[in-house]
Amino acid sequence: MPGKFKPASLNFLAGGGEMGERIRAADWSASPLGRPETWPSSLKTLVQVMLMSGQPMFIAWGPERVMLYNDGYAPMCANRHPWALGKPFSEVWSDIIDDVGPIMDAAYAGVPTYMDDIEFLMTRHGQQVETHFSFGYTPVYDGQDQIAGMFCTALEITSEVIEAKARKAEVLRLREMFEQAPSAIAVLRGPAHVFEVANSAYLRLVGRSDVLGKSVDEIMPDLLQQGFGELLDRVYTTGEPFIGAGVPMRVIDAQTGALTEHVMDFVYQPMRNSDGVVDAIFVEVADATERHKAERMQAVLNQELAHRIKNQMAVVQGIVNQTLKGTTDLAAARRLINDRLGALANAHDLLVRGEGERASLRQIIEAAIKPYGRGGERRIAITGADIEIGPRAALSLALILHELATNSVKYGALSTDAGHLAICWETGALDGKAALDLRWQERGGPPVAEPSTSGFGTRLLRGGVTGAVNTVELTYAVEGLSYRLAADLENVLSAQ
Amino acid sequence: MTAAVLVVEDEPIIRMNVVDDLTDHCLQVFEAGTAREAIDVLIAHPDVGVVFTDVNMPGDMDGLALAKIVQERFPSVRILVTSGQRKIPAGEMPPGAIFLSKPYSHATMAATILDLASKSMTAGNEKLGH
Repeated sequence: MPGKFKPASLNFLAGGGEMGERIRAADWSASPLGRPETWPSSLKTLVQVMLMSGQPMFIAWGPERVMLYNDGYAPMCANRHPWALGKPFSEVWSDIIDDVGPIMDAAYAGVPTYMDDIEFLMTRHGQQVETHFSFGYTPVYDGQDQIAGMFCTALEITSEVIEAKARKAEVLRLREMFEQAPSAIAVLRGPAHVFEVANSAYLRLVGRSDVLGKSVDEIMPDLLQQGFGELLDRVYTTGEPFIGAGVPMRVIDAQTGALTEHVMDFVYQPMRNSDGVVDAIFVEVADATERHKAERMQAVLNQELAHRIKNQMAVVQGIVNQTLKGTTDLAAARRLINDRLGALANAHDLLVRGEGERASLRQIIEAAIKPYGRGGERRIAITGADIEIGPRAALSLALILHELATNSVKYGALSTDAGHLAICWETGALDGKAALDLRWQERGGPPVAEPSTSGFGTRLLRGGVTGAVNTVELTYAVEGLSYRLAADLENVLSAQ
Repeated sequence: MTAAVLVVEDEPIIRMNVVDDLTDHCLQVFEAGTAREAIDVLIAHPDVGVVFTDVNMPGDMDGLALAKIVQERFPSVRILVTSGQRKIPAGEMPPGAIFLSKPYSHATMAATILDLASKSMTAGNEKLGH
């Protein structure tokens, strides 16, 4: 009875989920494969294996390469499923036949192929997407020992491949950041400290580009002599990082061979392998030479400033003592003290505004004259090419000019409208050295007589510029007072 | 008679203050703004028995160089050195020289100089070839 025979002969089609059902329900009589019960035993066996397996598989059978596939393979077919069942391979995969056709041809020629990662552009849900598969194409022989078909086990690895690509991009991005980092970075592999990685800043620092694969010993023997070799060895053996801040380092310029002193900030960080054993050292070096220089300069400036403030306190003390000395008119003394300290304060102001604690000589002179100048009413001529003078000279000159100006307003050329004052300066020579030659000349005022006693002002004028070798001429001529100051230019310009 | 004193300081106002202070103590006081000027004063005035000098001074000689020359050329002259920038160790000064750190109290300064001046007088003031 045919009814009894049929179920027994189709046991190989049992199970297999949706695809099992579809294969069982399909009408194979019009197919080149014919009805399932007529299929050769090798095909029957393969179909049974395929339907029972969870792994994506398909079979291409016969010269038409008719496709049979399981539930696992159906998602790979995407919208070709379920249409693809029983269709020729070349028709199903017409869009990628140029890629997979040769592999299929090879299997039909008896050559199996295994491919780890094949990229296909597939149309899925109406969109072109990048997919990745690993494939095994195995030729299958029939009862006549002829190749009758091909059996394929496939595995979609798109998500794994995309993940790996993302990881690779991440590594490249890190490497790029590393390469562009402003500080010099290198990785030294093994106990001999062989350069495995060195970024461009590092190559610039050592002045050569051929460090990779070479040991520290070969590249920088001079540094090893400075104790950095022992330091690397210690970090490697103890696994303790070393952080050096402001460490002096003598570096040989690879191009010129010149030895230069640098100050470096650096880190030797041990790197451990998956077993936790140190197998490399991460090195990061930043050249701190410029910063260090600036810090040292700042320290010197601070020290100078502290010294000057102490000195100025003594000067203020001196001004107060000298002004109060032997005076009975306290109100007048208070005014004098205020004016003298005011002149000093103005000069400090000019110093602070000037670049690098210097002041313009012309501004110092103008500041001293300003309270008495009253615009063009008085004839005051100031001539000379402006120079920037040092702080000690500026403060000292401000006081000298203040005394000259107040004296002139009280007794000299500035006490009458007819008087005039000429202040001029030039740079000349004093005892064979460059000197600032400054003259103060009063004319047209009341007749001048030399004072009988030597007061603060006179003594200050005779003292000349503080901190400078100078000669002073103070002349009380009848037609007007004249004061000439010749001071060593180097001293006057000095920052001390 | 107490020996005269030479004050060497390049800041005129500070110098003025010191000179007046010592003058008030009935000392005869000379002054100089550089080491060169100081040597000229020492040559012109053999009665100077004490030199009070600042270290930092303009010109080719500072106060320490001056102290050395004073010791060599005017060995009976007592030396008092002052500086606001650093403490000068005894080894950098001639034997017997005293250091006074800036800022100093005028009372201490005057007392020290009076003491040196009285010692200088008892030691005599003979010059050894200048």
